[in-house]
Amino acid sequence: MRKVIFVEEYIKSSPLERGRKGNVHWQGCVSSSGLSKQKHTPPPLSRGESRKPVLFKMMIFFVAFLCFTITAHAQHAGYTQLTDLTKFKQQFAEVAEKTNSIKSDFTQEKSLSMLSEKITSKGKFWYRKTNMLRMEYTQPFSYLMILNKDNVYIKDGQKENKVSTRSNKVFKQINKIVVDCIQGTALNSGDFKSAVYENKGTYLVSLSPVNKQLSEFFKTIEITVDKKDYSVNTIEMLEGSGDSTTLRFTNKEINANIPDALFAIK
Amino acid sequence: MRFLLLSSCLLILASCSSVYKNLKPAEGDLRSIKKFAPDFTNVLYKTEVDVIGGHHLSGLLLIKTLPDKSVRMVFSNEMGFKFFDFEFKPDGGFKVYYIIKQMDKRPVIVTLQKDFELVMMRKQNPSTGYMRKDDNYLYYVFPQEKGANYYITNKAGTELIRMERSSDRKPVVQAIMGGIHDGISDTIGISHKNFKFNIGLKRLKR
Repeated sequence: MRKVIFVEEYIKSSPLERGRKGNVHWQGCVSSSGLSKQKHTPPPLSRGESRKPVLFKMMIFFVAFLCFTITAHAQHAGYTQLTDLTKFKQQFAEVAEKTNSIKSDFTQEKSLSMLSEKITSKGKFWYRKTNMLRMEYTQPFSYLMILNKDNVYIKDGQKENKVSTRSNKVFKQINKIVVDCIQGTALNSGDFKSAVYENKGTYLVSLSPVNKQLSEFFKTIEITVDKKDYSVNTIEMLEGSGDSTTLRFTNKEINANIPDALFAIK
Repeated sequence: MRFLLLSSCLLILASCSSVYKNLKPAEGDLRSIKKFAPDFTNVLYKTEVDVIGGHHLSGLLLIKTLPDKSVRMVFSNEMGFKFFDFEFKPDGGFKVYYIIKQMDKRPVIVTLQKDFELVMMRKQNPSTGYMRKDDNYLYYVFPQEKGANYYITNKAGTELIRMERSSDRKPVVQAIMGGIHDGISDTIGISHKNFKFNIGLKRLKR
């Protein structure tokens, strides 16, 4: 009974001030009667069930973008927009075809616009055809994420997590995006509205998510590609709030030999 | 049968009694507890959250005090995906700038708000607060809308042992801070007593 009292405490408290949508969010509240019944299920984070998929979902979106960028090889010049994308798409697919692996260092910068603050982290990045990706953050924390075909593995400190993308509809869909990206068909997949720009040394691919799931997280994704070797220099993911996350790739090695062990999920 | 009834009544009575009822009144400066308030000028924590059912969530929590003295708290995962962005205003107000849909539930938000208010030592009204003691500790008590926030120190008041958010009878949340350097604690732990919901913060040097 005590638990119930505790739960109701939340419900009776005064409304929260909301940043964006006012108290419309009340509709998302759980009714007190409903909560009273779940004596052993705590109110707030008991829905861990949905939490993990969310986390993984976002990661896989992220992976999808990385894979996309890996294969986002363009042609052309000057941050003027390319009018004919046919050739670009073709080139994109061709280079994707030839790229079997990528090894690189990366720097990630999360910009929080209203806080005038940047969070920088660094690590190593490995990609191999098909559907294999390893991202290892080393500074200022250690964090490892491996995507190997249908499986995702995460090591965060001492905690390990494994998830099969087969067991989940969302993962399956996301996996399709990943494959589309790798095969160079993402530009045609209908998940993004795309525009390509160029300047002297780089291409800039601008992607706006079409589907609602993705647009919740990003307004646009901007990728710069080095014209010299068609490798990705940066990926910038812009949120509606004005915050953004930028990944910068350095010391890139294309088609380096990457051992299986790096993608092994035990 | 009578014995059963009697014993049940006794049991109920026992379970209804407050863990705080044996505390004795104490003298002291209630405001001095503020000296333990963590300095959240600009600090980044590696954050782990464990929830019921063995679920685990990790990420980075940035806490920054803005020029208008409001404290912003942004939690994102390691790859930069934002989970929430809260503001604790200097006048006691609270604002949600952003929260992902899956967490956008009032009980979740209120729990996080109250947990962090406990640690930040907000909502301390000296006119309604009072002090208590037992054989080992001093208790700085600040009544809230429901229940109270307890700050428990050693008898001399020189060391903060733990913080508690309590119902009228017992603690529902306990929090500890460790390794305090220049007012910034290296670790903060928040743990719920009624269900599994634990937050662990570990400071990252930038």
